Amino acid sequence: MIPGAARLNGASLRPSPRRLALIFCTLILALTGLFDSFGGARIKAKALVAQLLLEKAWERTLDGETQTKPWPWADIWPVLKIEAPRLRQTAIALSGVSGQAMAFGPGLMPQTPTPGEPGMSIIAAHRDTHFKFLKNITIGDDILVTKPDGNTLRFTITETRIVNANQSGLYADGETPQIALVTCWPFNALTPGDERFVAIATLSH
Amino acid sequence: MLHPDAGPVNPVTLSVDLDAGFPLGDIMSSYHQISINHRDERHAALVLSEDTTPANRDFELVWRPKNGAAPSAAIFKETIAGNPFFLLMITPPSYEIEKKPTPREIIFVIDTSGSMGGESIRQARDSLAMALKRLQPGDAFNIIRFSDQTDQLFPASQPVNAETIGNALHYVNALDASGGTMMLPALKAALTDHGASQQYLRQVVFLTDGAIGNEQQLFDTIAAMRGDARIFTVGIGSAPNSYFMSRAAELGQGTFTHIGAVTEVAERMNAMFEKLESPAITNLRLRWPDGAQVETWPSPIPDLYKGETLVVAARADRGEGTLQISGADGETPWKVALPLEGAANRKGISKLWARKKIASLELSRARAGADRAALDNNILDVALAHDLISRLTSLVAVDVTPSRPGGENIARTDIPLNLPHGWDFEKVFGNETKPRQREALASPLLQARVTEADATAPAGQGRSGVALPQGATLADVKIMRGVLFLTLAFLILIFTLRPQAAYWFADVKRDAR
Repeated sequence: MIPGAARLNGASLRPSPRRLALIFCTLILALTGLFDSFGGARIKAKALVAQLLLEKAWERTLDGETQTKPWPWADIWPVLKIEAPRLRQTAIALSGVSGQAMAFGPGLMPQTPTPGEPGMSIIAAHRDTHFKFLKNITIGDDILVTKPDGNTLRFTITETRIVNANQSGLYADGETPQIALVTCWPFNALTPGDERFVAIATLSH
Repeated sequence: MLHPDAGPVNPVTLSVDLDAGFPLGDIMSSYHQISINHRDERHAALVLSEDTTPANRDFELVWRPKNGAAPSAAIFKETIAGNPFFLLMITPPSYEIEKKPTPREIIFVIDTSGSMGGESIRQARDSLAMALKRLQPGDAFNIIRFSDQTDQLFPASQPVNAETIGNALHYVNALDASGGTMMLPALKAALTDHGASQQYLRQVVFLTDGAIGNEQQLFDTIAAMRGDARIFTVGIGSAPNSYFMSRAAELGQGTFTHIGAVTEVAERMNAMFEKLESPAITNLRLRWPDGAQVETWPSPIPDLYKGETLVVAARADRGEGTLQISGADGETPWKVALPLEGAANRKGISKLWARKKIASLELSRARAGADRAALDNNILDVALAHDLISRLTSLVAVDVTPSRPGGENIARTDIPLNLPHGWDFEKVFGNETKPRQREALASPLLQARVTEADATAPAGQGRSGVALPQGATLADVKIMRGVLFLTLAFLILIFTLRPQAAYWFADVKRDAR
């Protein structure tokens, strides 16, 4: 079409090589932009949709099924429901904290105890998806944790701190039943870093 | 902890009476000076050269059998409560002349399921690429990849040459992690793929994090279909399913290698390959006297590799008769008979057996769905019967001489300790000349040092606490960058390309006309 048009109208409006290069670059820029925004949106969408499917799987878990897979090829299953009533947030937590698992929901670290048992259960999620609400959490907030047997435990946030991921100072073994909600810090940073925000909640009776 | 200038406390003297049961080769102490007095070819006495050595580091003694042309075996016995316990040591021959290696068929099976995403798949790719580069002409190989689907590089194993390796490296480079984990079809494919002829030594190398739930089914498949293939498992990531991997390797007479970080790939894979490349005695079989009830560890008996000694601990119900050991030294069959009555008595064999038994029980306990309470009871029984320290038992010393007369208050005293070798007192405690007390343990620097030394702690649970996972995605960055790029493109379009756009627009109208 362009060569044809150029023939009809002479050379005056024919795209110069420089112009072609510019068109090409603009096209690449636009494509990269599309690709990136879709990639980002996909992460968010995955996090949302997975929680919906997990909600279904969680209901079946409460009915007595074990290791219910939210979708047939999943290698994760719901283990807890976490609620922050004041902030009106809920999330279904999963077995494991691999990158893949955490795309779908908060993960209960496998080497830590089940919430309610003595020791610290560590639950981790991304600060830009499931644990976005942690930035608004304050000491004294209640965290409700429901276990597969249907029992709901009430924990109260007693401490928040910022730690280094590799020197967390958090230990799974202890006597008081506690949970630690962990996410990346600072909340508005653009790239992942080494610092983590930890909200520690203690079982209240 | 004491400043080194204060002089060492708890000095140690140590003497070892080494009766190896086979002719001794090199004897080395890894960290201390020792003086050795060879009594005869199997027997040596050694003491620390320094009279008083501070207790500030481990003592490690390494000894090797003297090189012989044939494999050799030695047997020892200990009788506890009427039960004989045996310790069997088999040492491989050392070859003066380099023997032509047995051609091998190696099947790599790599897990590309979603749980391997990120760092793990990079480690697996690096490990596999490293392995491919070590294959030798004459060997055959294939690669099987699995997630919820299985596919393989070649329909059947191919000989190693520049072209096949090139293809393989290309294939490995393109591997990415996504989807679920269905290991069974891949395992079956690996165990049935008979592209190469029968005289190849078949070795299956499994690279996975072992995030699976159907372990028993996989074990049954391995036991039923393995034939004489050897299975080597490579655990990827900081916390692989070590129950599955160790047991699969044990069943497959191979080894389990754990790679926790990309930096470990080269060292660990090389160590594994040295083994893969140098089996000395294969198909080892132990035939105990007819009718004897014997429990041996490890079970099944693995191959014997060059430069290693195979140690088998057994508990039998009787101590008479002859133990027949057979195997293959390359193409040559090898056989030896050991009369059990002739076994020399040694202390501690039952403890060794019990330790291996406890280790294996602990391994079963780690498995999903295991009856932990029952296994704990078993562990407790074995540990108590053999006076061993385990997760559930410890040794308690009771001193019957009263050290505190009745009516006197309890006093608390800290016992000074030597600074561990290689530590710098000033760096850990700062410039204090006074010996520091218990509070020193709270020093963050000391904790950091402890963590470095704490390499044997379970993954992610050193003294500095549980290592926390990544807590952010790149979603926001991606969306922001995406929108920025799109806006830029749009602006360029409007301000720079408008005449051009007008031209095209006009052009379209012309065409329409």
